[in-house]
Amino acid sequence: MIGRIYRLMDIKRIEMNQREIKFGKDDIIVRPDYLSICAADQRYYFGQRDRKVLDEKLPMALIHEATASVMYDPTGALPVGTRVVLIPLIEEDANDRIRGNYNPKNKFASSGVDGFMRDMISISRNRVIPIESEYSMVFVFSELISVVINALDAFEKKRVTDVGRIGIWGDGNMGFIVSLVIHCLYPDSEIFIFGKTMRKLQHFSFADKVMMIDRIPERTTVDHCFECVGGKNSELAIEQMINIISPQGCINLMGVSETPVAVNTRLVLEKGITLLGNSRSNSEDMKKAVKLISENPLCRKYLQMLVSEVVDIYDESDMAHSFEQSMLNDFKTVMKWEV
Amino acid sequence: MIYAGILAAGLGKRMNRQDLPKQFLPLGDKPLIVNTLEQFYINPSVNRVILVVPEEWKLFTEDMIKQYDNMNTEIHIITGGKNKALSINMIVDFISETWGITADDILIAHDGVRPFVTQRIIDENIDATKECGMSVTAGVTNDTILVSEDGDNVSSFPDKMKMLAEQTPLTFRLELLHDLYERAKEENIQLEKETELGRLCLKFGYDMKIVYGDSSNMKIITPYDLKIANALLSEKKL
Repeated sequence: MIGRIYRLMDIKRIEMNQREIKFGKDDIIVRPDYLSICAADQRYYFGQRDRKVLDEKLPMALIHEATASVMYDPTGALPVGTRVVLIPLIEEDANDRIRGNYNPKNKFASSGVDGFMRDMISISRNRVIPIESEYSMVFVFSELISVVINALDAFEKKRVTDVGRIGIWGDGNMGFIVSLVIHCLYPDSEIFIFGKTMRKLQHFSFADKVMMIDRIPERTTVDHCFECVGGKNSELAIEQMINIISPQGCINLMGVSETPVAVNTRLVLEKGITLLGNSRSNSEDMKKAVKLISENPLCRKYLQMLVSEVVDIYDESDMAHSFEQSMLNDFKTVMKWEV
Repeated sequence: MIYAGILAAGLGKRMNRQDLPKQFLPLGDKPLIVNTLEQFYINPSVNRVILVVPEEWKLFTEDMIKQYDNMNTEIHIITGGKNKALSINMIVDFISETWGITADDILIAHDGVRPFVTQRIIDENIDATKECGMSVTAGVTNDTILVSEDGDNVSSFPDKMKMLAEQTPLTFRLELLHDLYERAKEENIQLEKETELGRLCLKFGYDMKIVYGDSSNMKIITPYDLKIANALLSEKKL
């Protein structure tokens, strides 16, 4: 069958290619409904990755956060029209020690292989998760939530002290998702958000307290921290966390910094702080994420607040427009896929 | 019920091939016509597919169809006519005689040699026809159109902004289409001479909604077209 794929050929240049869709024996065919633009996609689109990386990876279709509808399942197990969440991870190495996307042998959509910007996608049935509850656009954030679930799983295994009060640095998408998932999964915890834009911080209505990073009251302490800042500002965030965190707390690093950052190791050692890195997930985390959204109507409502703009996509110029908009929007830009 | 009527009754004389009509020539890994059919097999709204072929190629087509996955779609192969209007008339008659025509029935008629039709175009045809009764797919033209009454001299240059090139699908409420053919019969219109069904629709006062197609929804008629189409599909990366 002939399908279309929309690849980033070079910085800010998306082109459509027609090609035959390969259909394996365990595959089904789906049609994307909603695609959400993430920071990694933005970095490719706007050429904010190293030139060598761009030369290696492009042309490549972007987007790894997506929901879709089933068009064809030869076994009939998934009826036509079934809504699903797509799993971007392609597990080619079943290694229990290094799991999911941390295993370099595995592949990830819109990173090493083409992402979901296509009109129809042939995908292995074990890479889709049916949405059994009321269908909502916010399921498109399942992958983002799965990263938080993965991080919380690691946090649970490593933390020494009680959960207590959690500080989250970053008032963007990741900060919102991390704090929301913690709010849902640790209802007894206290959540403090540290950010630099009050307009964005106001969206975190479920948090116990929001604070501007340049006006943190003296004697503020937290038991554990989540860094969701990334970029060049992650250094300042990590410095604040190390200063504020209680002894034996855990700092979860989740923001991607393109350049090396300095860490005050003296204080890390003095306080016995655990530094944990997490930015990826696996299929099990994705299933847990879908379950969380399905079973928690309040979570769905709050996730709705994360959507800054929905852009109807009919052609390449709409795609370009949505990427441009994503840089202007405070939170998520979602593409309603009509191609 | 939504029917797809795939028009493949031509013998492909412009392809300059003696062995196979153009719709059966290979495009990528399979016959061109199979690539077109698959776009309708996969569309969740399409319930039945009726393929119109030349009488002498009917048996061959039946064999060929069996060789490829039809995605559990009901497909019927019938003999077509000399032009689009006649072939669509035969589809209407076939549906009428086999299942009868109801108020909700829609026919999406599509050229068998336009394999690059998209799901978006098919869906918008269905939506437009539900709303308006008839729809036609069309695209803007890159070339300036000129009119010549005698074939030697230019008669006029129509306003380019008003010029669109017709593609397919053409989509109809079957009841309206059935009535149209009845009226054509009553008025002794010779369908053999009427190559454009759309012209007949307008003549009888039906509204046709435009669905914007895509420049890639190309019609493969000449060896050059087929070469381009194969080049487009030659990419190996998935």
